[in-house]
Amino acid sequence: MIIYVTAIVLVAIGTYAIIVKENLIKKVIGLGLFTNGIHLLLISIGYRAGGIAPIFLEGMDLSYFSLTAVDPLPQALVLTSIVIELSVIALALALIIKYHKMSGTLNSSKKV
Amino acid sequence: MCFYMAYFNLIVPVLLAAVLGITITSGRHKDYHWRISFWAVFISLGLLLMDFSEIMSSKIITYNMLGWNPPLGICFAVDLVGYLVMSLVAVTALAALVISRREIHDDKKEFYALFLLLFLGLAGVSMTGDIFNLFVFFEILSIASYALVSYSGRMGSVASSVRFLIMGSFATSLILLGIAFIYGSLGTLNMADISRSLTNSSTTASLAGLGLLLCGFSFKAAAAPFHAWKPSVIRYTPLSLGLMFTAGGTTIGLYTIFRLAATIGGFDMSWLLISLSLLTMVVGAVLAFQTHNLKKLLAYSAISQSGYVLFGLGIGSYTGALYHLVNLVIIDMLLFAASYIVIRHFRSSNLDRMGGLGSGNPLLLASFGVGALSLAGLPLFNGFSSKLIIYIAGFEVFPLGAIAAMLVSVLTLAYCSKMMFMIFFSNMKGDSRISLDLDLKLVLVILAGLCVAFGVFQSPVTDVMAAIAGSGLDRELYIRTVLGIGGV
Repeated sequence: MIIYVTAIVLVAIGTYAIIVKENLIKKVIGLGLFTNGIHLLLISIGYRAGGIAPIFLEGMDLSYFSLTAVDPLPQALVLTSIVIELSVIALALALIIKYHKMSGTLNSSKKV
Repeated sequence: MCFYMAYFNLIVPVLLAAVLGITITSGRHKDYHWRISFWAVFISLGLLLMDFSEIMSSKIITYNMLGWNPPLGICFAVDLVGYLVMSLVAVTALAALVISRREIHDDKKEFYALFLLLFLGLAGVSMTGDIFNLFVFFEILSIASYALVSYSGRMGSVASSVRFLIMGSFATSLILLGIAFIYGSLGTLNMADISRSLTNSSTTASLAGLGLLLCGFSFKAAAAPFHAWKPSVIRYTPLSLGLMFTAGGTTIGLYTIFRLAATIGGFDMSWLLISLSLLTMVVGAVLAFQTHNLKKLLAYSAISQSGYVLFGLGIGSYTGALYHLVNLVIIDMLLFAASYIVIRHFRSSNLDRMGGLGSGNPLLLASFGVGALSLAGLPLFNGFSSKLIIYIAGFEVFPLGAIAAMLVSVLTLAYCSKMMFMIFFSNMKGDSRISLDLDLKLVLVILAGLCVAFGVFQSPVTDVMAAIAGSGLDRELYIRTVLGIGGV
């Protein structure tokens, strides 16, 4: 339960920062929080208390495996999404540096 | 198995984009980059045509990645609607490349590597049968477009790119959140499997997921209230790129909404789509009327027109929606090509500084006029034929909405006449002839001809669109083919 609450809180803080904050760096931080909240949610969907790694080893009982192995798919999704998130944030920061150099401000609502 | 299409259409652009990326520093001329991208898009279009007979006979062709069968594996599934959209994207990319050859400066070679990535993303979205894969392709096309928007390095383009990036990533994250909800409640990512599970049971979580997907897709389609990014982005980008965003990006966004409404289903979203569409139509047309910038006007008018497609989807006139989508792509290509010539001549996209092109440029005047009249939906032009289908269907379901759509059409005529007047008939002094190269002339003539042809030959085109829409709506067939059940 606590994990879902954490995910919701992260998503909420992220949304707040993206929409309300005017500083571009804070917006990007908000974006990071938002996506990480979603990642946490995805991971917790596949989580199983006391679960084992989803690798079927020799001599393992099939019903035991299917009852205790965690779902590997959300982890693959999160891994993909983390890589995408990384590149988006890197690009965002590069653009913000350029924006700051040209305009001398980090305020997104200032008319340029 | 759509081997050609699913495999090579993705591999060709990505490989050639990699080649272009590596050779940016090698001192090759821009024309080399242009030629490679042109061939990449051309080959994609050719591969698409090679699959034509197969898609006509089997309606849906699927390809399972690495032989893993869905719902476990990732699959590509192209039905007739996806095929149509994919062809529209490829043709748009060809037209954009023709414009970009002159528009892009010689020292901006990286444009083409990113352009191919954008094309790859658009193509991937129209082919995939898996929502997470769809998200990945959306991210590919988004990241390429953020970089492309900022590429000119001027203040305005960097500023609009930063804002576009933050809003765009937020929207794609909403899609990811939607995917998380759907996977959590249904345990599958395959569109056909989602559709099948939703007919049996739909929970609050899965509905929330679908709603989030709709928000994200509406952002990509630039439907109001998610439209704000588009005009500023198009204002600061070259017209060739603006064409990719309007004709390519909007088409893909609308296609995903079609997929959501027709294939995945799950809940009746017609009233949601109708309200979204009316808002989009009105907001786009009003803003188009008050702007004095040609590029922004084109962007707003594309937003407003995509509202008609959404309206068609909402009232269930899928034939009209698809017909209008095809017409929009043709009109957009024509207007962007003609505007490129106009903006190059005046070195500005401000309508107040334009004028006097009315004498001495019959071809430009005629093609721009055909584009504007088609947009406004006058009889004999293609915009009329598709809007008529939507109006007729609309009167049966929701007469008030159809009347609103007609009023927006009047507003469209108003801003189109304003645009035509300011470019061609104001500030008439003497002769201002613009010399056109052969390829631009050819593009204008072909596209204007298509506008008229799609308007005059209304009934055969309608039949074709009805057949495509009918097969796109056949949810049973889609599920059976993709999941490989029922002896297909």
